[in-house]
Amino acid sequence: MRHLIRVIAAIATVTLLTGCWDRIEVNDIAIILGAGIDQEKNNRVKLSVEIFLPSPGGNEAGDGQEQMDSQNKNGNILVSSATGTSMADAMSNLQERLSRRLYWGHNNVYVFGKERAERGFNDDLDFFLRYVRARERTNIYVTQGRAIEVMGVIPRLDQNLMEALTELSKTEVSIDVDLKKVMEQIVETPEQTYTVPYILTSAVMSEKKHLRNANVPYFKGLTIFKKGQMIGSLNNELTHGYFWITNQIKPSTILTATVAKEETIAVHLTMSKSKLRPKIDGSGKWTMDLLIECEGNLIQNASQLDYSKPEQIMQMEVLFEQMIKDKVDKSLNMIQQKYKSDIVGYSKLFRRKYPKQWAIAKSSWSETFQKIETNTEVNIQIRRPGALVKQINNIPME
Amino acid sequence: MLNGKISSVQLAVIMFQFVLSSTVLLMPSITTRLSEKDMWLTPLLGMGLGFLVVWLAYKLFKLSPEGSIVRLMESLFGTFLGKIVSILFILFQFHIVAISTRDYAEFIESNFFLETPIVVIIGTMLILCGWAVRRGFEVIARTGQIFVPIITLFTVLILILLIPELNPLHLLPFMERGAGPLLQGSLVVDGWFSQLLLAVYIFPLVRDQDNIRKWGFWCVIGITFVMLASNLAVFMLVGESAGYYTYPVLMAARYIAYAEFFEHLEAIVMMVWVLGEYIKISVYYYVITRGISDTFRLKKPEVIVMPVGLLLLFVCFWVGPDFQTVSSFIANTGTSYILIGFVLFPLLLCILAVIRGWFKGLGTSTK
Repeated sequence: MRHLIRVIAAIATVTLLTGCWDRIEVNDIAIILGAGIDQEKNNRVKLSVEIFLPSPGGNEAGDGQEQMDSQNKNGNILVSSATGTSMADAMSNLQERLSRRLYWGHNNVYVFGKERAERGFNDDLDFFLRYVRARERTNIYVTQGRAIEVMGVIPRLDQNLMEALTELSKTEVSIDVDLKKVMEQIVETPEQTYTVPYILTSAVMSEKKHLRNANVPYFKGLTIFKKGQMIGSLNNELTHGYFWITNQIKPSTILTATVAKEETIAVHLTMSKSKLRPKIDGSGKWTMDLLIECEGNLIQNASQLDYSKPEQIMQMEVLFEQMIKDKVDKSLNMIQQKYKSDIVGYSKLFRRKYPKQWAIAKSSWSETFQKIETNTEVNIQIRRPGALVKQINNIPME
Repeated sequence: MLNGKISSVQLAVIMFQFVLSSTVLLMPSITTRLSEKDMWLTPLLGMGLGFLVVWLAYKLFKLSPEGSIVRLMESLFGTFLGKIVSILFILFQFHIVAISTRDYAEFIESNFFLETPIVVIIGTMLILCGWAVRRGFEVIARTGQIFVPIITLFTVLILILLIPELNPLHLLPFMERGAGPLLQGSLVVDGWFSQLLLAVYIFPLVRDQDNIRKWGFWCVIGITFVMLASNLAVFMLVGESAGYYTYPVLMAARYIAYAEFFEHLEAIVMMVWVLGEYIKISVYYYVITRGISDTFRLKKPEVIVMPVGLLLLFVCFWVGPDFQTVSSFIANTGTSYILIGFVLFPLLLCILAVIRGWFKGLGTSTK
């Protein structure tokens, strides 16, 4: 009897402790690398996924209508899509067409078509955060055209689109916005205002005769969301100004200032820091002090200004300061007056310093935000001249 | 079989994990919903009650004849009525442990083993705990000694890996809506601390009883520290959106990513949770078994271990039809329920015992 119990216990341990109940074999899953979401007619949604095929040439059979095989040399990417009334519905329709189970664990990118973004994608985020439980680090992008067009892009410089996009997010022209950040903004800003990187599809670029680089995604600035809907976008230049305000300028950014007609100087930034200080004065006027401090090295001097003379360095610095100030003012003007949405995070800063006044202004934050004046002060220091002391322009000609 | 001696350090280690096991995952979300930006302070306020409960448990133990709280109830209310009170108290513990077990199973079910029937998850855990209880508290104490350092190490590891992502500015402004929300949140934390009272059933097993109080207080401080660290980490990571995630610590572990390959650490959270819940359920299980055997003066307490486990399995399904019912119970009425059971009721017992002792003392001195 005792032995029998022991044998039963041993068998039970072996079978139960493996956790085999929920096992999924690797060759039974379709690993999703990126997902694209588009708006369809009749308020339907189209989900396109980029699936990694572990074995080269092992293409999935399905109804070819919606599937585009990448036909690339390293053709281990399959793009498949389906529509549905909601994300969950679209996913189950997509699953019907695939012999493997969709696996979201390695998904790193969500790309939303512009139309979907303008309609608002909070419904989709709910699905991603609730069901898919994709890592909150998954990046979000909005594309100018349709997301499925981006999904089909096989970039030449990177292995797949997902990698190309995440790498691009690390460069100085863009930022990465992930699910966690969006969720944070939705909860903490009074009007659910946030920004998402805006990318171009290759089709749009090729119209501009950039055919040689057709298969690389590009950044086109930032999209602005308010109350869950995309209400507009900032182009690259305005985005730059936005980065200055929010302390997101990365070192290695290159700045160019115009000295005079056809004369420019360029500086390679090594350090940059922006600081915002909220203030409410006695008369109840809300202002924001923005202090930008940065350092850089000269990398090109195509002007008459001489770096070896201290007073001319000062002159250069003033030029850059003015240039940055203009950029900031232009962006702020656009954000405050045209879009009226607080993507610069003023609300948080005022809340920290003036919780009582903020609580009152919270319900009509747009109006308050519009009226906040920003006093910008820029302080740039050009530390080193680079390998040339004098500029070539100034060599006297006999 | 239910005996076996342990040291006061072992007891402290066990009680430390006993309180923390379910806290770290559930507390950040609940306290954020109640206390918003001040949620990180709630463990510090809750700590006071922790000390009170440890003191109360020790006092009750000292007042009890033969060191058994069941005997104390019998001597206070009379044998028959005392047994009824004792059984009611055991039923209350039954309810709490069932909620706790259910919570554990729901977590595993909803995050990792989506297709495994929940009865398997609860059942395997209860078989394991039942086995440990049958072998006596010494087994639980020793497994605790092995598991708790592992659990604590991994919890701390996750918190340390999160440091680069943390933004301390999330914590400001301080006390935005006054102290009200803060107190509300700390009451929920009190609910967890109050469970320390169960140590009163285990005190008789402790070899060096003089050190109990010292280690008890260290245990409360340790619990507070871990709670504080996890609350701070979660809130500095996601800010007020912590209240929107079911298990913010799991989410935080999933968020860790280093050098594009050191990621997907959520399995660690699961491991920590399973080990921790094993200790929590075992302690409750042991206490319930001991309570029953003390009440009925059983000679061979180990025969009731498995029946108690089976009953527990059923109660786990009776406590609520779905996850949300159980979870909202914890966050709302559950707090006052657990505080009445684990603080008010023992306090009443203690007061009664002291008053009676006082009268007795009067009687003897006049003679």
